Amino acid sequence: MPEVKLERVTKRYGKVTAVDRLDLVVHDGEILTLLGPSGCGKTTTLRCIAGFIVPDEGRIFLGEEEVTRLPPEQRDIGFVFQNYALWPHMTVFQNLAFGLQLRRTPKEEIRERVREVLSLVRLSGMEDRYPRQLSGGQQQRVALARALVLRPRVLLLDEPLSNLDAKLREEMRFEIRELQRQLGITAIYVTHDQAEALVLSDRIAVLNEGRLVQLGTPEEIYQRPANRFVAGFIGLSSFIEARVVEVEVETAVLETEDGIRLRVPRNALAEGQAVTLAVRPEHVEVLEGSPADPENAFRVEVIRAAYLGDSIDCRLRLGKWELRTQLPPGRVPPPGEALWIRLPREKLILIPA
Amino acid sequence: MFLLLPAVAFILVMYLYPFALSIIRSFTDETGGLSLANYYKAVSLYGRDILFSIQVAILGTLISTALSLALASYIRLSESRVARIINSLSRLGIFLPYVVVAQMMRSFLAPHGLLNVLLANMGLVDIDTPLQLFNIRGLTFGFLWKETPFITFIVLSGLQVIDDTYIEAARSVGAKTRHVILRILLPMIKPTIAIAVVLTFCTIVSTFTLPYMIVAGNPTTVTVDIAHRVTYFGDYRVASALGVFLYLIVGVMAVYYLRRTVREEVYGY
Repeated sequence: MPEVKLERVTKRYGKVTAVDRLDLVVHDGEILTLLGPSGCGKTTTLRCIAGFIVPDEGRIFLGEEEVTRLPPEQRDIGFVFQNYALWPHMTVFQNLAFGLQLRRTPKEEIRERVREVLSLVRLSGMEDRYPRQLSGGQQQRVALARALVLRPRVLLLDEPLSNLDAKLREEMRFEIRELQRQLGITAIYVTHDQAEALVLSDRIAVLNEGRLVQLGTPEEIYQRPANRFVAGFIGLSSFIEARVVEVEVETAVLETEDGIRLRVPRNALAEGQAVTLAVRPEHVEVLEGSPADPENAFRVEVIRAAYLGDSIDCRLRLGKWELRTQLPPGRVPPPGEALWIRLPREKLILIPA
Repeated sequence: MFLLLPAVAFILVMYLYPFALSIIRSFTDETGGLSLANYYKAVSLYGRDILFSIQVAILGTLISTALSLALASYIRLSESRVARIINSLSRLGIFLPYVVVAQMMRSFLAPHGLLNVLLANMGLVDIDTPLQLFNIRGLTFGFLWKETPFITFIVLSGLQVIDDTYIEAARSVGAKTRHVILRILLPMIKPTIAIAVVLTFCTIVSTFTLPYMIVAGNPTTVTVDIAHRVTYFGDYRVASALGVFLYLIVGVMAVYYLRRTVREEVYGY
């Protein structure tokens, strides 16, 4: 399977730049997710790769071949649509066989390949059903099978799970991941759902306003977000603005404008530098009473708490800042109750302001 | 029940009564007795015209449908300005009454009308022996001129409901434009096409003005014969028998249409 390469790809709609000088390489056999909020340019990028739209600038390569202006029917790609786009007048078999018929594949081979791919997506025996006779999950599988039956060079998936209910969506994430690994196919997956991206991807490309904001493995993106946007978009984060007031050998001290002092790893911080601290809910340690070790320990006030079954979602007030955390199930603390917490210095995410 | 009465009464008086009356009249002779004489007379005098009417209707429907499908598909798939202009222009014909179209066709198709002059200028026709078009050819042409925009309009409405992703899905598996049209788009709107075909067929069969003004002499259509029978002979019985033939021709298509509508598959795209 070839790698996919985008070189300074730009697409404009009137005055709006949907994709802005995007450079990206998708490695052979990996699944890369384009992740971002609505209007960030992720679907436009995918459609450029598919050939449904031609970029205004830049070049697209599938392997060694430049395909920037090649029509979609000549690109040898498989595309799975958000609404599945199964042709309603054709049975499952006909939907899958259509592309093979266009390639003049012998009838016997068509039957064999359709049978094979249907068994791969666990839909054996559904050949004669019409799309309207299938559930949403089954339709989604047929759409995937239709893309895979042609053994395309690259598989493109445009929010394929967003029409499914939450439970099915969760199951299908693993199935798609498993299929992609099994077939070793290069895949590009578009979603706005960060959980989906974290589960599915070898690497994630986070887009915002048409630009690539960060590219990395799910762990890198979650643990070391490049900026406040990524920290806020991937997972939950609370933010604290501060300035470096002391730099020591291994640590540095930050102070917020309302006088809260936090010790953090020194990294490359310089005195006087402004930084944003991102605090993940799971990194807020709730202490039993007043702590012996005062480092990064604070008395906070509960703003509000909500019972979620397996945890309690809690918003806390620290000076002028709001922190979010999850408490183990049990008593729901009332608003105004005081708690002691610690923000362990090695868990704090430092983002240069 | 009482609320339905006005509507039911209206239908009974305005539609069913005249319809039933014309059928009864077609089976009645001068003495008021039951008879098939009107039918014998209708077939012997106008048998050729009945066939002519069916012939024109089939020819006009088939050609205008084929043209419309091509035109609507082009407009649906093309993003060019030309396609948008064609789309707007093609709708003009829908709103012109048949009598105006007939008037236009009389000067356009005349032996020394615009069409013959154009063809002569292109060297395709000798202007001294121009094409004679006040016959089935000219009549069919007139129907095509009027009905093609109508079918295009209906078919295009169906095509525009289809989401682009169905087309893109076809392209992504290797379909060229002709495959997209013939294997995806048109089959997806089969019920819409069927309705357009039936409506056009019925319109052509029942139109009076165009054949009346275009066709010189015989054969002509049944609608003209009915008017002739009533106007010149005051013969409502033979006219009614001819009317029954029209009902039968249209009825076959109407039954097909109703069955199609009832059974219409809702694809939900």
